[in-house]
Amino acid sequence: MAAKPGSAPTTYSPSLTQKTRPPIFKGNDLDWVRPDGRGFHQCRPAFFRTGAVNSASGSAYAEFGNTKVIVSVFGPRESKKAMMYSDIGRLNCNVSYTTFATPVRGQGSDHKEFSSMLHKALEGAIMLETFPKTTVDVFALVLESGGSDLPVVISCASLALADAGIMMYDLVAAVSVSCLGKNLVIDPILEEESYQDGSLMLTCMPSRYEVTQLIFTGEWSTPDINEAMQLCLDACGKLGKVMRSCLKEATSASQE
Amino acid sequence: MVGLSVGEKHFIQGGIAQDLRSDGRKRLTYRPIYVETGVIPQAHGSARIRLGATDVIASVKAELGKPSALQPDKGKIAIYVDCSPTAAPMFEGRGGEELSTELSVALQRCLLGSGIDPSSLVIVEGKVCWDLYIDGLVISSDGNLLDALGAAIKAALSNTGIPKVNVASETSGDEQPEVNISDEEFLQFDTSGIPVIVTLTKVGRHYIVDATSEEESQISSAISISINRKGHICGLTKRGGAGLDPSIILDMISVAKHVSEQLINKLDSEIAAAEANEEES
Repeated sequence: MAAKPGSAPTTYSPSLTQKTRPPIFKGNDLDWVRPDGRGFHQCRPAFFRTGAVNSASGSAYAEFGNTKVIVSVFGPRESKKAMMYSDIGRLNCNVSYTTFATPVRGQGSDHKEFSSMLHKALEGAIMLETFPKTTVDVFALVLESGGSDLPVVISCASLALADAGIMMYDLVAAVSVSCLGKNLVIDPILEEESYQDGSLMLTCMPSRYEVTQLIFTGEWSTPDINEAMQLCLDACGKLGKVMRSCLKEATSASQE
Repeated sequence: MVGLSVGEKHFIQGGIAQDLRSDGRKRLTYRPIYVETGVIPQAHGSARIRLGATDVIASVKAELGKPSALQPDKGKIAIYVDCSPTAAPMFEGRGGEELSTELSVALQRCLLGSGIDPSSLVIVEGKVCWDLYIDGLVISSDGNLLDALGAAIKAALSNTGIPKVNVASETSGDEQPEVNISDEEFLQFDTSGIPVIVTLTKVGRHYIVDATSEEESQISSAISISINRKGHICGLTKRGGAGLDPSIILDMISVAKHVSEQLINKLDSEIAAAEANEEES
């Protein structure tokens, strides 16, 4: 319909969904099924593709259900002249959300600490001494936030670094677990995260069996911690295999 | 940040391996803690903690606000940390922002998860609640900022008196109820459930507690664990870049639990002594 000249465009905003959202599970309901039908200990199917951005040294795109992330790696590039000489390389990470990534526009700015968390997760895996005096920039963009964003960003970033040819000790795989009442749920979606009582995010190097980053929130007892960590380590091992097969496909495709 | 020579690094690592640190402490001993409460008269609660040369102040201010639409029966709590340039010249302007954000997020994770109950802050459900602003200020930094800030916030909260509020007679619909803030009566927080934060730093093959900034420059990795009185973990953050074997992490958790018992008792007695001092003066 053509707008009449001089009239302001009408905007439509959906009315706020019901103020009290019924909880998606009630108490200790063990028969509760997750909204997308997965088992409690089942991760979302992972989709990875490297070489998403042509102008970057390396890049990767990851899609876990509704969480879509793209990461570009630039470098090693000359460090800014203002920075002091350093005989090991520098890693600079930045995680940003698009404004349309979250259900409410602009909510991504709540996650400013993700950049430093990504940095900590990756710096243990990169051989910084192989590129002295230079900087490697990792830029992550979350296109759609569907829960468990930071683990997907970390896994995708390590694939992008591998695609860029940066030397690393091992790939970095990350997984998060949510505690909902008495149940431990792996790879939570956005809805499950908003009801969680506690969460655990674990980043590890699967082949070396070393944890590079570990963050707990909420109250945990020691047996729960053991169980959750074991779950995460198993899941990271499987995720590492998926990531490796993606890299192999990419190289075999380019050789043909 | 001090630059250390290779000889100094070996000295620190060797000493730690033999359970004797540069200032004579054992690996799992804290520096003496000094607590003063009520240092900021303008705030509803405040405390200053000195841990060796680390000096931090925490202040709690409560303001009336509206609860969020998603959680109408809970008040709001926000924790911010500011690293002042008096601690280190590199904190001037935006230099200290990264450290401040990291500390704020770590404190929010540890203390807001299960430490303070937000439903005790609501006055009229859905309309009026208390907004609690907890601010930490780092005046002087000699390592172990997170533990000091956690202890300062715990002390500040036990010093906090939220003014009693009288709600005017029943109002209907969307009208804002009238509230009278009394100047006389105060409600105290119950802080026995608030966790303490213990940072364990791994140097070589051993763990130390309460690292000075010299020791912190040597870390391969560190874990900050927030443990409450019941021995439950309320939050955990791994800091530092190197990878850690999962069994080492579980071992560090059990060591931290053991250390936290002594720390909680020591801190509670210091806070009680400080409050008693404040009432006398």
